[in-house]
Order: sequence, then structure tokens, then C-alpha cells
Amino acid sequence: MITLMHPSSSLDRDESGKSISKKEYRGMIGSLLYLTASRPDIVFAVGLSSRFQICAKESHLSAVKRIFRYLVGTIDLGL
Amino acid sequence: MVEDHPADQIIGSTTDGVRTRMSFQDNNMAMISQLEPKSINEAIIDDSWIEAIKEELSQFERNKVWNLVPNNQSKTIIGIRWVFINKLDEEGKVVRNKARLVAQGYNQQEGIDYDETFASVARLEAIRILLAYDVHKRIKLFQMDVKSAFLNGFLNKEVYVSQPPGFINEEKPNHVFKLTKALYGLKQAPRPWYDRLSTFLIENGFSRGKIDTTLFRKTHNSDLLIVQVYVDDIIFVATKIKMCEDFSNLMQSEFEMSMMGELGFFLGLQIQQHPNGIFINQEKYVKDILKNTKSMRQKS
Repeated sequence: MITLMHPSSSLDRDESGKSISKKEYRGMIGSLLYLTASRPDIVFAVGLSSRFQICAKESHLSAVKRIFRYLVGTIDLGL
Repeated sequence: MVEDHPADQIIGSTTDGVRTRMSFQDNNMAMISQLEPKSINEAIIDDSWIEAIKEELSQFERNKVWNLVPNNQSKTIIGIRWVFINKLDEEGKVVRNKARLVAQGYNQQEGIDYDETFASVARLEAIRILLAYDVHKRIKLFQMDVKSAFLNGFLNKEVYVSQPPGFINEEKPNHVFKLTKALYGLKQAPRPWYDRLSTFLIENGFSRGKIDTTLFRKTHNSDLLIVQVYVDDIIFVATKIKMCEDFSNLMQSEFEMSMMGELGFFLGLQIQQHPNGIFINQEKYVKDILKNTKSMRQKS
């Protein structure tokens, strides 16, 4: 099972990174945000990723995808 | 089944055999269509959709939603159209065909066609507090929903809509409908409904929450009945089962209700009520968002 966030590297504004579609990024953040109603474990990771909506880069998108992969692995824990 | 395609990702049963479009047309699923028509012309050739349309029109009839009047040139006429939706069950099978007549509210002008549109809805936190309270009291929650809720609200402005596509009165093709009740899609639709429901509840001895205006309370001796409203979804709980029954009878006498029973699924939350507590999870919701974002996530 994959963890929510990369253990050592931290997210920053990543100004040299490639920009991605803000609409898709926000859609993903939004759907994760509603999920925090029953999944407090993802709150920190989602909150952190949501701070980069204004300058969404590929590095941020891969962080969000990591959250989704974490969800795939934990879907049947009954959380 | 191959390695990359595990059995739990297959929708439906693997023993069902191949489903084709032709088999949908044979209607092997007892009068339920599998395809969602894009327009009225596509729907009108399918019996199950005709049934759905009839059902929607009968709701209009029952609620006395509109009257046919001659077209007065000075009024803006709002277009209406049909929307066709398949209702799915938990496994993604089509269980019901639903037709809904909606107004194209984006043509409405503020001040002329509508003024107040605000209607309060319950906050998720409020619902969780209610759940916590019920666990503490060890009482069971129930839910119900109102059929075509918005058609119950009285409009306070004059609103005219065109005749529904496919159902133009042959003798009066230039007439329009004057609405007495709200229609789905109108900018102000939720407000008249909330007004109607809250007036009805207050008339029947409920008091409205001062902070959360979607919470209604009724006390009888030392017993308490709590009603939480989320637009057309209503959850309610009482310290005595008799009060729940009375409340559901009361609602049925005024509105057309459907789907009554113990609270199990609400706003995407799956709720399990056990004698020792309540469990909430959103497994279905996780599956949905995973499905929706799959294409995006696979791009890179």
C-alpha cells in the first residue's frame, strides 16, 4: 500500500515546473474535500495540495494522484 | 479475467453474458430502458420513457402547477425542456427511468422574473451533531423524501413558460403556461419550497432552530421529535417511536412522499445504525471519484 504523501520531499511552489489544468486540479481537490467528512486521515494531505491551486504544476498533480492511489489501497478499511 | 482486470473491478455479474444495444431494445429488464434519450423525439418511441413522462405530467396535474393562458407579448417566456435520467442502484444497474420537465432558468431576469432566491440548507456539521446526539440517546433515525419537492412551492411572481416539447396543445399552439407553483430549474425554485415546508411544520407545532433554520423541533410531554431538512430529504428522530409514526403520517397527508425507512444513505454518506453506535463511511463516494478522475490520472 502506498502512503498519502512522499515521506521526504516536500511540496513548494515549484515555479520551474510545467503548468497543468487548474480546472481539473480543483475538481480533484473538491471531491477529496467532501470525502474528509468521513476520512480525517486525508485532511492534511488534501489541505496541503489545495494551497497550490493558484500555481498548480505537475509536481502538485502527482501529489494529488498519490492521495487517490492511497484511497485505492484503503477503500475497504471501513474508514 | 486477466491479471490487470481483477474481478472486483467488473461492474455487474460476470455470468450475465454479453450485453448489447439490441438486447436493451428487447426490454428484457421489465420495461426499463438502458439508454438515456437526448431529446423528446428519442424518448417518445420507447414505452418505458413514455411511462416516465406520463408520471411526471401527472405530478404537474396533481400539484396544479400551471394554467394555459393566451400569450401576452409583454411578458418574457421561459423555455422548458425534458431531461431524462436513469436511476442506478448500488451496483450500477438501471432501476428506474425518470423524466423531468425543467425550466431554462438562465433566461430569467432578476427583479422581473424573480427576486429572492435564497433558501437555507443544513450544514454537514449539523447533521453530524444530530447523529452524535442520537448515539448518545440510543435512538434510531429515519429518513424520507418528498416527490417532486419543488412543485409544492407557491410562486409569488408571475412566471410564464412555453409549452413542453412534444406536448403542444394543437388547438392553442400559441398559448403559454402561467405558473402557480415553482418548476425545477427556475432561479427561485428552492425558496418557495422551503417556505411552504417550514410554514407547514410551524403550523403543526414545530419550532424552528434559531441558528440552524433547517432544524425543527417538537416536544410532547418529555418526548422530543427532531426534524432535519436538506431540501427534499428529511431525516427525523424521536425519543418515542410513536412520534416518528405520527410525523410520517402528518407529512404524507400534506405532501407526496417516497422512500421512507431507517436512515441508511444520505448525501453520499453511508450510515449504519447499530445498537451501540453509528458508523459512517463513504466507500461508494470514493469509488465514484476514483472512476471520475481515472481518465485524468492516467494521462500522465
